[in-house]
Amino acid sequence: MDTTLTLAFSSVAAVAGLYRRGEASPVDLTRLLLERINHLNPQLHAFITVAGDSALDDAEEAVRRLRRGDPGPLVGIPMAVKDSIPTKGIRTTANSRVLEDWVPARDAFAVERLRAAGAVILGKTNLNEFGWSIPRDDDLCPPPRNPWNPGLAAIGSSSGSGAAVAAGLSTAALGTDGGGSVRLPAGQMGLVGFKATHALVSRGGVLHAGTIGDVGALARTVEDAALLLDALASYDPDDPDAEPRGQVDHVRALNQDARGVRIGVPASYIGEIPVEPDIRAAFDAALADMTRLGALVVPVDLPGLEHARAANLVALVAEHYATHETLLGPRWDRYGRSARLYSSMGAFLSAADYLRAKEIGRLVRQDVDAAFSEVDVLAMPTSPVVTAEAARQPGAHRRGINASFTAPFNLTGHPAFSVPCGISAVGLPIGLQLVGRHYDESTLLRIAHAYEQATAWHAMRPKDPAVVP
Amino acid sequence: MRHSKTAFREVVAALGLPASDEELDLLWEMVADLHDQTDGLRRYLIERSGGDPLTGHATLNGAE
Repeated sequence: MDTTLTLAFSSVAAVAGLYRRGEASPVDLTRLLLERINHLNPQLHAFITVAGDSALDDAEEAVRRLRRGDPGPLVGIPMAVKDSIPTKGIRTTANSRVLEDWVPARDAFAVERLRAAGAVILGKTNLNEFGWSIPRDDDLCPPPRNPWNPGLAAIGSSSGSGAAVAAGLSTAALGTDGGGSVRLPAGQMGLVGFKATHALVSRGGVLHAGTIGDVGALARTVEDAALLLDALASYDPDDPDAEPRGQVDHVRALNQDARGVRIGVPASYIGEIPVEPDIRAAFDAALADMTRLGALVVPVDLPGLEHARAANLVALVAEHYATHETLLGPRWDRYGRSARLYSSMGAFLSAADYLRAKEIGRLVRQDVDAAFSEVDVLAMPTSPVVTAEAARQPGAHRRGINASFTAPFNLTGHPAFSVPCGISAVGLPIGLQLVGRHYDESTLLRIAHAYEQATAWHAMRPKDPAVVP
Repeated sequence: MRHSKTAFREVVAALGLPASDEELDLLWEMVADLHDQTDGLRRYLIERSGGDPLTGHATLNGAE
């Protein structure tokens, strides 16, 4: 890789170090990434809106902050933001013609946090329409391609955020996750992706946050994830689910190794899910690696996960309909052909269906919390399937089968990270999901970092010549 | 709430959703899948709360 490409694919921490030493400039990196977006986005469809002028303004402000000696690790870091997260002065569409021309007057709280930390907002990334549809070529913006194999689709719904970081178009990105929408694209594109404990990162201002969705981030390393979490986690009284909590230094967790960490594997549940062989092999190898690092791998029984997966789907469908109920009829033709049907399903749920789904979330949270009296983290594959094409088989997609390992922890609110753990025969990365106790992101970061440092998966880059010449 | 297909069409129309015949057929399938899920959740809660799975006689907290 030449120097320019190395910079485009550098981690947040590495870029911050270059800035501090005066070996790179936010303006130069922003220009480089804007050029790459201009060159690659027509093929990858990672971005819906590129905010070139305001990004350069942000970068110039970052230069001034650095000159003043601002030590913030996100100063001048180029970030992409999923297009369901409103951005002041930058068009926000949720990839729907319903919002085609909407320019928000306010930033979402998470974007405010990024701006306060000095990040450069490059633009808005692609997604399944309103986060809940099977993407189609006639969507407002066509579906993102996977930079690891542009012949295949990028999985969503934070598909554009994943593609942007994986293709070296942005140093990191924000996404949202209501059933795995950050962790699944992270897993499939060789990135670290997380959703923290429910509402630890404010959902204030985010479209479709409901009672389950969370804001998360996609990055290249576990250290970057910790840096982003430190910047994003802050109490927001406008988020009804947020709890005031003290600030935690998540980066400190990276100094500890994995020795003695107890890793629970819900083996029976994993065995019930049709996990593809490449994923099973990568998962087993990751467990063996973590055992070599001194962690203890033990089976745990969590039979409620299957029901939590279904219950999360029911709750999401109900809340999605509640958001769109008054718009669907009058603007039917403005919704995409898939999104209009996905948004309508909830009309056929009863209040009892919704309440039962939420009650199952409460019960399964108790089950998972009980398991955490025996283990420190849970481990499982991030996704049962490798490709978005397999995940989007209509019958399986609308039952949420592709989210079998991720969705339960949206309903229960537990924090979860996906880290790279392998590569499949079709050339797409595979993710390992680690789940922790509420507000114990530090233990997750500790084991994820120890695993990352002992393996080389996070250092892989796409090989497609269009992405990496 | 399961409906006959005729009633389903009437509900869609009453909701003001201008779905085509093709869309109605697709939505019908999607809703049927969704109701399979809600039926499973109802059974799970009844079993877990110690209720009677045949009559469905149970409350969320297991109290009669």
